[in-house]
Amino acid sequence: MFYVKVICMGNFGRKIEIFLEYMIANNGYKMVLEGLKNTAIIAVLGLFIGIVIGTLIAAVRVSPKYKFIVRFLNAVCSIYVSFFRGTPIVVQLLLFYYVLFPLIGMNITSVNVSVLVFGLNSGAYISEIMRGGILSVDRGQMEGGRAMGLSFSATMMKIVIPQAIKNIIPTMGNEFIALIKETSVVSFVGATDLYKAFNTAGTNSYEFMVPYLAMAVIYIIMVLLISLLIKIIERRLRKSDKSL
Amino acid sequence: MIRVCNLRKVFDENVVLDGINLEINKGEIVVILGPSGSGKSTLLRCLNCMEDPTSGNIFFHDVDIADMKVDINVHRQKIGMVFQHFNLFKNKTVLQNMTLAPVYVAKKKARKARLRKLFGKSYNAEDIRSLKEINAAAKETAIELLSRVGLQEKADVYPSTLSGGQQQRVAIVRALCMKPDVMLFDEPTSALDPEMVGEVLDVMRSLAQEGMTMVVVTHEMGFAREVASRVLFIDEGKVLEDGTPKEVFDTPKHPRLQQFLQKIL
Repeated sequence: MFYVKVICMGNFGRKIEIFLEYMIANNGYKMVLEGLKNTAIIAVLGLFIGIVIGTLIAAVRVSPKYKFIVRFLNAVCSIYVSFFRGTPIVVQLLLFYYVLFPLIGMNITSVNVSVLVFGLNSGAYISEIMRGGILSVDRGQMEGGRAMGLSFSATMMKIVIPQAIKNIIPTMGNEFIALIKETSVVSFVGATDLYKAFNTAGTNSYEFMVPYLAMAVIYIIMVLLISLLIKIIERRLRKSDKSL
Repeated sequence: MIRVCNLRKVFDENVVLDGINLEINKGEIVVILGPSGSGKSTLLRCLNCMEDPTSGNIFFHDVDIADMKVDINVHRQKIGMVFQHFNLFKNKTVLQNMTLAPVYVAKKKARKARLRKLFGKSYNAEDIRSLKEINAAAKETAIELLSRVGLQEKADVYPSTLSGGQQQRVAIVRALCMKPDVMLFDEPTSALDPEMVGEVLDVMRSLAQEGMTMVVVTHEMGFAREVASRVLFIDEGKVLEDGTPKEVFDTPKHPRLQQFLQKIL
């Protein structure tokens, strides 16, 4: 029994050695850094695009539906949301990279496509989060603004959305975490992310155990750091609510 | 100043206002009374089109604001409104609450005037002001109004830290910041603790003395009797009685009003 364990541990030590050798001596760490960078770019820019799109969609969806243009935009938005929520993100990536862009004859890097698709995709989810946030703001806030002679959009921008954002910070954090984890599929279109970097490390040494373990550890560290960040932001926002 | 012609408001199948005709002149203080569900709040909210009338016209300075083609925001700037639940902007300080709309409007005017100047059209030279001037002017007005209701030291706090009475006083001066021609009060004291009702009524009373045109929906009979120049009694979407406080309170003609007064006095 003891003998078996020692062999396993010894074996594991050897695996770590192989992994480290590849990482340091064969410059494997460069690919990991690039993967880390791409993962961060895709997640952060994706979230940013998603927030912009999501806010716009949410604003359209809560607007009063008197005018034709609003009803039209509303229909467009619901088609958009049902497409991006109704198909897997891998499918969207493949569609954009292998179908849409070649069809319109545009040459675009796989990282850029990933940023775009993650932005559009999270936009659909964030629009629902944002809509909930806007609806959670007391109706009186909108009435107060409108009664002063501010337009619907001005009241939305200055009064309602800032309060809605405060309400949805925790949910938004979840969305960001989900986004970071989902980036692990961008290698479907050939982008180098964390998964690809560690996968390459494994393929080169025929040894997958340690690389994948390291990958999981890096993901979890990133997510924990972000959770911490969200907590700090949340606390700060609450403070401005109560103070004075 | 405000003329309401044959106003009807229907929610789904529920007729709330059934052919209201009403004229409110400059300087009048009109108190609207009525049992709950009688449509008095809806009538008030129709006056600045917070509720869109189902049919009928509402003329404000001889412009029909019930017409959907009219830019309602321009007219609302001249119709101040105070709500039962104050509706102060929670993400803004008291001062920001008061300056937000005046600054927004002045900025818009300045932008428009600059554009007209650029294209060689006639423009109002007074409208062209720098952002700094606009902010300073709005702040000055706001501070002056705040000190009038004794809240100048609360300028930089958030509304959530104020008592109900203080919030309502801020809400009143916030509306006054726009220099409105008429003020609408939608049950301004109904959400307040009894001991805070007085301070809000005092502000309204002093406003009335200055000659502000006011339309007030309230349950404060004492206030109505003392301050109003005219009292309307509304039930089931119709104006049942319209007269001076003396006439309405002392010699009520309509049986429904007699019954109403018996219950509350």
